[in-house]
Amino acid sequence: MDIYKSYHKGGLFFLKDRQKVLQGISFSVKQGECVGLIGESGSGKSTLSRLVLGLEKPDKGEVKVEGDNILTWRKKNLGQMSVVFQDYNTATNPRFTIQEIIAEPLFTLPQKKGITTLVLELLDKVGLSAKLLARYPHELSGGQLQRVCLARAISTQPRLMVLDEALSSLDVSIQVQILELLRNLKKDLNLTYLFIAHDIQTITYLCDQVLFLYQGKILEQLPSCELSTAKNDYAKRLLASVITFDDYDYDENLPVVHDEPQYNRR
Amino acid sequence: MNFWQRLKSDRLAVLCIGIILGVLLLGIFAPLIAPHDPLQPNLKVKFASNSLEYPLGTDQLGRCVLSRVLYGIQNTVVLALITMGVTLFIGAIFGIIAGFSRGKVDEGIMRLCDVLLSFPSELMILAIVGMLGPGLANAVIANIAAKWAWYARMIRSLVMEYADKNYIRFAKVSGCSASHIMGKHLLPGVVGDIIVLATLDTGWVILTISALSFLGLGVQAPTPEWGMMLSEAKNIMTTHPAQMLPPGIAIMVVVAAFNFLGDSIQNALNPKHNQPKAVVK
Amino acid sequence: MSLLEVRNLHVYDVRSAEILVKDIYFTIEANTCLGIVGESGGGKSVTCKAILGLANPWLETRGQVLFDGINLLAAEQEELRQIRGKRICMILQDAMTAFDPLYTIGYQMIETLCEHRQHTKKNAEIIAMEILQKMYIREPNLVLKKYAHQLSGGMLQRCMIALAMALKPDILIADEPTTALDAINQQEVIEEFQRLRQMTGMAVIFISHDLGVVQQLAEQILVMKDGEQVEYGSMKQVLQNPQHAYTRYLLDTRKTLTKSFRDAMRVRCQEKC
Repeated sequence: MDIYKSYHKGGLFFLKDRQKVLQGISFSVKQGECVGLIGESGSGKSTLSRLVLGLEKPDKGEVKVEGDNILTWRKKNLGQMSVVFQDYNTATNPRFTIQEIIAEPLFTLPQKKGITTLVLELLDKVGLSAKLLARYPHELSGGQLQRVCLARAISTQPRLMVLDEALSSLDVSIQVQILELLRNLKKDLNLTYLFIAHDIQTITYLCDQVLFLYQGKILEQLPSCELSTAKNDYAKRLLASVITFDDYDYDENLPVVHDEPQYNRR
Repeated sequence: MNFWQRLKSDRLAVLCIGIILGVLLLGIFAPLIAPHDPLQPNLKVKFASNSLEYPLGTDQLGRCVLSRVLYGIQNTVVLALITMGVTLFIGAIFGIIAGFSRGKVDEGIMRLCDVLLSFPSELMILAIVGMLGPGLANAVIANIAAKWAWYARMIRSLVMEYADKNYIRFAKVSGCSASHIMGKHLLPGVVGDIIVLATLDTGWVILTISALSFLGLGVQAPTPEWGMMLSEAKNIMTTHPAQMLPPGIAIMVVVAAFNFLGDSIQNALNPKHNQPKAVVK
Repeated sequence: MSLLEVRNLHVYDVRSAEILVKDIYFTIEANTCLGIVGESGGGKSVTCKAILGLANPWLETRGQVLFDGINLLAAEQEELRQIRGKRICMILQDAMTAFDPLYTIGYQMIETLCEHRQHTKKNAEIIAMEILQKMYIREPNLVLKKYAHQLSGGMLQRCMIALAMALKPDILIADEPTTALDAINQQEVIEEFQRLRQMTGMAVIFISHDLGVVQQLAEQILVMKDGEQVEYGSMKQVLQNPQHAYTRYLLDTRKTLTKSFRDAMRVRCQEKC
C-alpha cells in the first residue's frame, strides 16, 4: 500500500521582518487518512498549507509526497493533488461560468468521456443541480459555490486533498452538510485529506488525527478519539473554549458566567 | 447590466465611438471620397477660399485641403492605432510574464524597463528618430520603443494583483500549465484595464506622430499628415492663419474623442461596486 | 410597555419589487437578550438595519417599530440620529472595518465618547481605560495607542463591545460579532457579552447563524428563513419543542457538530484506532 509521507522539517522566514512563521514542523500523512490541523489566525496555518501545496518553498526542510519532493511529484502526477480554499469568492474566476470553473483542471489531462458529461456527474456528486452550469459565481450562495469548488477539486480524481479552512466561511448548518459530503467523497474516491480549520468540532467530525499548531510550532499530535488526553496547555485551553450546543434534556442549566478568565490571556 | 449595456447607455461614449469609427471609415474610403488628388499641386488655385469644388479651400501649393485631411487620416489615426497595438502587444507579453513568473525573470524584465523608463519619452523618441533617420516607419518604431516599457510595468502590477487569487493558486496546484493560466485567467482579467490605458494614450500617440511630422522628423513632404499640414501652415501663419484650422481641429477632435472614450470605458468597467449581489438560494 | 416593539415589519427592494423581509414581529424588554438566528441571506441583518433606518437607500421599510413609544420608522432624521448611538447601538461583524485605519483605537473611542456622551477629552480617556479594564483587556493603555491592524479580530471586537458599554445605550444590536473569529476569540467575546449583561441593564439583540453561540447568551430566540419569521419564543421552549421544520433542521445540524466532539472527548480509543 502506498504511504504518503510529507515531512516539513522547515522554517519559513520572511526576510523583511525576520519573522519566523513556521519553526521545525514535522508530520506525516498516511494514505486514506484524514489529518486535521487546528490553529488560530497567526499560527502559520496558511503558510503551512501553501508549503504543502508546493506554492512556496520552505527555507529549510522538505515537503515530500510518496518519497518525492512535492514539486517533482506534482509534475509527475498532474491533478493528483487538489485544494479547496476558505474564500470561495476568490477561488473562482468571476468571469467563468460554473461549467468552465469545474472543467478547467480537466484540460490538463486526457479525457475518455466528454467533458460536459463529466462535469454533470461531478455536480451530481456534490449535490448540485445541473441548472447551475451556465451561472456565474456571484449568482450562487456560499454553500453552493463551495460545493462547486469541491466538484472542481475532485474532477481530476486526486489522491490527496488539502482543505484549507474550506468550511470556515460557511454557516454552521451548511458546514455540517459539506462535512457529510466530504466524508462520503472520502469513502467513494479513496481520498486522503489534510484538513485545516480553527473549529475543532469540524475536525473531530471528519479526522482521524489532530495536530495543534500554535505560533508556527506543532504543540501536540493526537488521534482524534484521544483528545481528552491532551497534555499541552494550549491544546487544553483550545478544547475548553469550544462552543458546544447542548440539548436541554441532559443539561441542567446554562453555562455559568465567568467573572474571571480561567486561563491566561495572551 | 453588463459592460456593453453600460457603455451603450453613456451618450458621450457613443458619440466618441461614432466619431472615431466615422473618421476611420472616412480614412479607409478616402480614395473614393476625396474630391481631388492630395498630392497634385495646382499653383493657379493656391489659397483658394472655401467653395463647392474645394470645400476647405486649398493650401500654399494649390492642393485640396479636404482631400489632404482625408488622406491624412490614414497616416495619422490609423498609424497611431497600429503603434498602440504593437506597443500593447509587446508590453503585455513582458508584463504578464514578469507578473506571473516573479523571481529572476521578473527582476530581469523590470531592470530592462527601468533603464528604458529612465529616459523621458519625448527625448527618447527624438533620439531614436535622429539615429534611424526621419520617416513614418521610424517614427512608429520610436514610439513603440519609448512606450512599451511603461505598459509592461503597468500590466505587471495588474497581473500581480490577480496572481494572488485563489483560483490561480488552484490552477497551479492542479497542474495547469503556465501558458494556460496566463492566457485563460490573467490576460482576460487584465484586458479591460489595458484598454482604458490604451484609449487614453492613443491621443498621446497621435500628438507625438503629429509633433514629429511638425518638426520634420516624421512624415516627409508631400505625404499628407495632419502634423505635417500644421507645420506647413505655421510657415504662413501671419498671412493665411486659417490654414491651421483644418488639421488643428481634426487633431483636437480625434484626440478628445479617444480621451473621453477612455474615461467612459473606465466607468463602464467599474460599477462592479454598484452591482447588487444577486444570490440564488 | 416594552422597550422595543416591532410589528408587521416589511422590507421591500424598490427597484425589483422583491420582498426581503416579511412580517416580522418581536418585543424586547430591558435587560433581556434576543437571539436572531438563520442562515446567511435570511434577512437578519436587513431587519436590524431597517429598524435603525440604516438599510440601503433602495430599500423601503414598512410596519411599526416602537422604541420607548417613539415610532422609529416615522421619526425625523435628526431624531433618529440622536437615538442611534445614544440609545440604540449597533456592532457589526467585521470589527476591523469598523475602525478607521488611520487613527489609533484610543483616538476613535475617545472621539465617540465625546460625541455621544458629551464628555471632555480627559474624562473620555479615563472612561476608555476603565471600560477596557472592566473587559479584562490587559494593558489597556497600550491597546488604546494601537491601530486597528495591529490588534486581532477578537481584541477589536472586545474594544467595540467595551465602547458600546461606555455609551450606555438602552439596546445593543450585535450583528454576527463572533462569526469572523476563531475558537478562543469567540469564547472571549461571548464572555464579554455575558459580563456586559451582568454589569448593565442593557437589552441585547444578538444576530448569529450559530445556535451554539446564541444559546449561551439569549433568553428569547427568533428564527428567520428567507426573510420570514418561522419561530419565536423563549429559548428553552423553542429548543426543546421546535415547531417549524427549519428550526428542527438548524438544531439537528448544530447538534451533529457538537456530538462528534463530545464523542471524541469521551471515548478513550479502544476499538476505533
